Amino acid sequence: MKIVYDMLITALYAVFIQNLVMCSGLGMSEAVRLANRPGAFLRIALMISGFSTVTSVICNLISTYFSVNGSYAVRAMIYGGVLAGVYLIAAMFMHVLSDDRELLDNLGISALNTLVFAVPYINYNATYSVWNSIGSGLGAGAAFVLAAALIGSGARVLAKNRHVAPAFKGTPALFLYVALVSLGFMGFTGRTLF
Amino acid sequence: MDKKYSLGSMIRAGTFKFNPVLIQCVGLFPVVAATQNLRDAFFASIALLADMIVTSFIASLMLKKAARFLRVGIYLIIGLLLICPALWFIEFKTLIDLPFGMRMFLPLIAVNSATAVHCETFAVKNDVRTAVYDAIASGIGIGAVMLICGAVREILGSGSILGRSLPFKVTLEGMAMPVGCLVILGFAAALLQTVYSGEKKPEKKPASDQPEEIELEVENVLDPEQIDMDFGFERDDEYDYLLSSVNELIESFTGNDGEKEESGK
Repeated sequence: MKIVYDMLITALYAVFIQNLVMCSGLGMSEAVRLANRPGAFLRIALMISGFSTVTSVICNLISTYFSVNGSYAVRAMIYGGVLAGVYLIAAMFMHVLSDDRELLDNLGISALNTLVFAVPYINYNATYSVWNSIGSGLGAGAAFVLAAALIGSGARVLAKNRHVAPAFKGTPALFLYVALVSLGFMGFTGRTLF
Repeated sequence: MDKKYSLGSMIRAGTFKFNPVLIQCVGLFPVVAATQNLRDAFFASIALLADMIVTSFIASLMLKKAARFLRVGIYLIIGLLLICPALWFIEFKTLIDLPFGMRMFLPLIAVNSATAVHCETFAVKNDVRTAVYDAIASGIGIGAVMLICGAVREILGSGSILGRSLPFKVTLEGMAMPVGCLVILGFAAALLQTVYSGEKKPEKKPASDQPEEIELEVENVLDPEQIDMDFGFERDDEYDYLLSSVNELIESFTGNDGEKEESGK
């Protein structure tokens, strides 16, 4: 029961308390670009969860059982190597099983982004257990879905708003909208601006 | 597709007119996370520029015939092999004391979307020289945005510049958060849009063809089609969603729903 509780709490933390996309900018480009493709971003979010979880668990086990010195450069090589290995194995497997080029592209976008690469670091800095790592991996995918859905719904409203000043139409208004959403999530952390 | 471009024209287009961050919305993570002050922004922009140039060079020289799913994995490995030794050298062989956050953020630049997008859509389809020019132009574009964000956030967030206190002490803590950076990006994008809006030649369409609100959107955007003309990007590419401007993305929302609402009335 405690294991499930730990996983759930960590996942909820990654989604709401410190939404990895909105509060840290991790995977923000992908979230913005995929916001108008709900079908695609759900599939990509599932893949992100999968890659984050597998990479996190492997990196957690490496950190636990092998002595990795305090250098962030060495740690980055190990975590990056694990991510590249997991991605290439998954991509080879998918390449053999299916001819779907779009699926392979989605796999690359899902695995090779800052959100997935950052999760093992976050786990290490927070001294998470394996179960916590699984929770944060799953939370990363959920955080991505939430961020992309919020950006998408905001962009939809912005597109219909005729009162936006010409200079701010499009990208500028979207940036300001994402800033407000980010500010909302920062509120969960308890930080104050004044 | 090999086309010849001059470095100047590519810098004008890649750095300013189609700035990767402000227009194409790629490479947002390094800009949002690694620009809390000017010094961090400088290190991050150098790392990103080096990553883009080296990766584009190798992609154009050796990876044209490799399968795409292998190439994108190789971009990560190239980035790591470039950034991690440099980070190790800074950590152990110099007196530069990188803040805790930067030690984590710098390696993440190896997987930034800007490098992958520019390699996939340009470097592997052009000769080495042009690919490197594109990387330099885009890298300078992202770097310039990072330096501007870093300077403004440091001045307004902590009342200092390069660690030196300013006579007028302003401390807006929100500037240190992602929200501060996103607000700066919003205003910078608006400025860029205003500067280049004069060059736009709006396509006049009959009012009966399109709902009014869609026509309004089209008139105010930088023409995404020009990306094709200036850079030779192929829009049928699977990565095209990362290429087209966000304005185009926003327009896509108006389409069906807008029509449904109109017809519903």
